[in-house]
Amino acid sequence: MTALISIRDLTKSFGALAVLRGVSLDISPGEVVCVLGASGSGKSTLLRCLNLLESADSGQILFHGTDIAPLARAHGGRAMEAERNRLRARIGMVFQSFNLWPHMSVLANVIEAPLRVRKLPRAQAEAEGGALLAKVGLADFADSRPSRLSGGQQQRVAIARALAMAPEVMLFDEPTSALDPELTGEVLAVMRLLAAEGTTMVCVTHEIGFARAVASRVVFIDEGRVAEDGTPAAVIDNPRGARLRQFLARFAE
Amino acid sequence: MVLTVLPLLSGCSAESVAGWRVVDPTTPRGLQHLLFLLGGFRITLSLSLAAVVAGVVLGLMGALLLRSRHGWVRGLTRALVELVRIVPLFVLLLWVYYALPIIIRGMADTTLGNFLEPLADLSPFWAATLALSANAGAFLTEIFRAGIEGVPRGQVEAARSLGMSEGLTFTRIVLPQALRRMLPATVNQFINTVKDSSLAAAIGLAELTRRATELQTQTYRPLELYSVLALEYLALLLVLTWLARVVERRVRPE
Repeated sequence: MTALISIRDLTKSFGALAVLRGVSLDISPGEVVCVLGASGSGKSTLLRCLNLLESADSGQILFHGTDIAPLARAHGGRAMEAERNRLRARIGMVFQSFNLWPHMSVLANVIEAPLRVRKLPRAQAEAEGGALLAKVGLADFADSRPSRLSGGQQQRVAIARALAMAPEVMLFDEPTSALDPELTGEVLAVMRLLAAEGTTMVCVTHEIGFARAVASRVVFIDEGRVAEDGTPAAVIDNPRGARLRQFLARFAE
Repeated sequence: MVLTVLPLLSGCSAESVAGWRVVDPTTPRGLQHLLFLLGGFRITLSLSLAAVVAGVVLGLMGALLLRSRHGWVRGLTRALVELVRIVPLFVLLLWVYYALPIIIRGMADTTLGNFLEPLADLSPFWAATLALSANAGAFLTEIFRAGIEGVPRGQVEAARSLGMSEGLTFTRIVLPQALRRMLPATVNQFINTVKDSSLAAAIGLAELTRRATELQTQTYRPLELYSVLALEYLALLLVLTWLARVVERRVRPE
């Protein structure tokens, strides 16, 4: 099976700080890849590169076999901007800090991009948006303002918002790290549901339990490179390197 | 209340109290004076309104230019904004009315000179509008810039990650929130612009202040006339701040 996303030797530096030092990774359709790593190891930067929010310095990001990394590098005028937007619409992203728009209702958050980017008729966008809110368990909150919702509820709205563009892959950037411990469960349950439906997902997370139970593959990133890559059983239960053992030991406490 | 206290301040002699006849609407001359003074509202209001509208347009343009990708665009905008903010409005007004025409006439028959020719013969009203607009535009540029930058970066990234274009992200996500944030500071600037319009009296524009001054030189009743003038501005700004409160209440941020 050909990879949906194929990352080749990706590098990225912020000034003198080399964050990604040659990351290579393949993601096949239907896979749930959990990316583990200490903070500062470059895992969030990797996700942001996939969504073209950051431009990689070198290397390739093949999406359906086409290198999309150059799109993030230069501004490149109208045609390139349109191409960038088309690609971003096909790659959903969920952020650590939810980033809902506070001046719109929950439903308006979800249907904004479908209305204006996919140009769906309002009735259809609202029907689809309502169904997505029901799916994440928030059908009753369609008309609420995001500020009325708990963090866990806000993150579930953010997931529905990303799903509303019917993306081919969902990127999760530490989706539960900003949440109180008792609220992480509801977000992870939604992610579990998506995984069971066969959604292609790349999750940067510190939830080792979730990774073990849901991931089809676990990737450990250390010092800007993929240090270990395999099934949850292989990576989490039988870590090869000392760095991963250290990393896992901190979560076992 | 103010009206009953002010005559007392002018002294208790019959002659001093009689001074208020100059604006007594029950006498023909007093009524004529009052109507002359109140006639200034039309010019003060149209000058302020023109300056506020042009200032908002300039301010929005300035704020966008300050976020340009090109360094030279940002630099030029920043320099212009600083220049206009540093030059006192009164000096700017005198310069636009008296100095600018000389420069433009000096450029006669050049392309730029021909282009700027209409500015060589500005009426006091348009000179005042130009100076006040530039002044309001410079201050509003800063207010709008701060309002736009106050919208968290993550919200912009969320919009972009959904495939929303830069323009769409600005008009749908950034601007609506920025407008709410900058409303109080913008209203403040409007109030300043209305008050500053009084400076146009110096170049002979017959707005509220000029009319009071002219009448004063004829009647020698500064206390009465300038008190009425202050009350005119008070009434105008009370209405304006009341309107602002109504608008603010309707668009209050969550």
